[in-house]
Amino acid sequence: MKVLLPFVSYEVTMTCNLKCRFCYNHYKNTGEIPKKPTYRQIDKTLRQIFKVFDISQITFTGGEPFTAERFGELVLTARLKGANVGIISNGNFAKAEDYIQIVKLGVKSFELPIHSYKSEIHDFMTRIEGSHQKSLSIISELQKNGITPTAVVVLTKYNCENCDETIRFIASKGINRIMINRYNIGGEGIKNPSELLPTKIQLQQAFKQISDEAQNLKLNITSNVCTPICVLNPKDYLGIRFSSCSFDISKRPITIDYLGNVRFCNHSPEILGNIFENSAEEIIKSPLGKKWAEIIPDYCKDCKDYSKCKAGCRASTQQCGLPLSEPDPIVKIYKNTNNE
Amino acid sequence: MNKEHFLPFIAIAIALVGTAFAIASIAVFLTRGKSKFCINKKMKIGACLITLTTLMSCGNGGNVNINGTDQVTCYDVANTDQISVVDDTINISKTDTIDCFLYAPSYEKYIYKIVDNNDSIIFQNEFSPENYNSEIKLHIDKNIKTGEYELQLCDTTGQNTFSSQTITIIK
Repeated sequence: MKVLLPFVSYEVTMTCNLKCRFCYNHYKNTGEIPKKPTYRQIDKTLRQIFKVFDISQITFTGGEPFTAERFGELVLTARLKGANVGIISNGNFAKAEDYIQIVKLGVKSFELPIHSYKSEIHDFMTRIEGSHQKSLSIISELQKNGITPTAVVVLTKYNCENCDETIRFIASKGINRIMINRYNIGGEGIKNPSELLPTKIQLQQAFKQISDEAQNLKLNITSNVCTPICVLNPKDYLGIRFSSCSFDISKRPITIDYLGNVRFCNHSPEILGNIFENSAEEIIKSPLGKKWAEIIPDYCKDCKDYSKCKAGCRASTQQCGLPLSEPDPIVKIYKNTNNE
Repeated sequence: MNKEHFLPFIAIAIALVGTAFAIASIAVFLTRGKSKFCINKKMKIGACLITLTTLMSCGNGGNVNINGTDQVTCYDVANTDQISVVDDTINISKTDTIDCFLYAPSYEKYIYKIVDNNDSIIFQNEFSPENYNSEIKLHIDKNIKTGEYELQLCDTTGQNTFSSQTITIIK
């Protein structure tokens, strides 16, 4: 019998054509660049996912998913299996016709980055000149085909000033759904977090500006990287809907890579099991997963907000090589440094 | 004419397109995925097959969440018309309101329902949000028995539920 897993992120490749300073992919932390997988391997894992799990939503991600061999056929397979498909793309690899081919398969959910209203800031963050323009161009093509993508903004110290301008810029492009993801320590950015991390005050001011713009322009803005309440209290930013990390596996962005390794989320490096080697039951009931719920960081034990906050992003804690008894590393960075 | 009248024709079309899809898939396999022509044909026929199966099911072909999910997770799109209860435990002897946040409303008026484990509606009322993302107070009947319920946010027909959350009533 299949195990119900409503939402799955599928990492079809680790290859990417951008070099984002903030990239959270955990393998960037290891220094090893995984070999590009073959279509056969990715397709085999995709079919195995549908064999063992009952899925209603699968989000293709990577790396840049369009760099995967015969990516369109993978999406076709997922759609023929009856799943709702989402695509997280940087808008910089595939041509417009490749996106349109996927739209014709009934895919309506696309997430593309717009990190700033200024091209030079976006391009500085991605380390590729012209990446801002390419992303905007794909967004425009999708809109011409009846799709309104979600704009993704990763907030770093480089783009958090004047982020209200960025929100207005995105809204002027006809986009009303925006994800604000604060820079989450991990992956590429782990080498020197202070290079990217805004101060706590900068972050709070940015969220205030964004929240106000959301109210003024009636935008659907979410803060998707779970953030400790002692850093950003959702009550202070009513225009933004905040996510929190759930310990209920069915409500998590369970992530599976092309080798079949299952992780708690796309940020976590910890493998719960492998769909070719372990049963779905074993993976879902993995003791590694239970630890997230059982271990409460000492720092948070007396906090009345812990049940909602759950110590922020614990996957970031793991990426930093810290035990789960530590909260999201952003908490102590802001506490111990002059980053307040 | 009723939708049902077309179903036999759609079924025949699915069988034909399905056969064409199988042939295109074999062609792609035999050319080891190197022929762009064969892949394009497979994609086009596949798109057609998805459309037909959508019509056959009279649904949306699996696209149940095209507007996003009701659960905001890292890198998943959030849905509109979502309600979030500030405190999911309500002491009915102290208050007859549930404090909530309403996110991204797209309607002028909503119905909220309190539903028990048997899907029976225990209480129902209407409200109109005054602001875009805003804090709202939902009034409930002081006589609701203690226990666990679902708070549902629906359109004014009561047929479409946008958001649902478990609440516990205590005394």
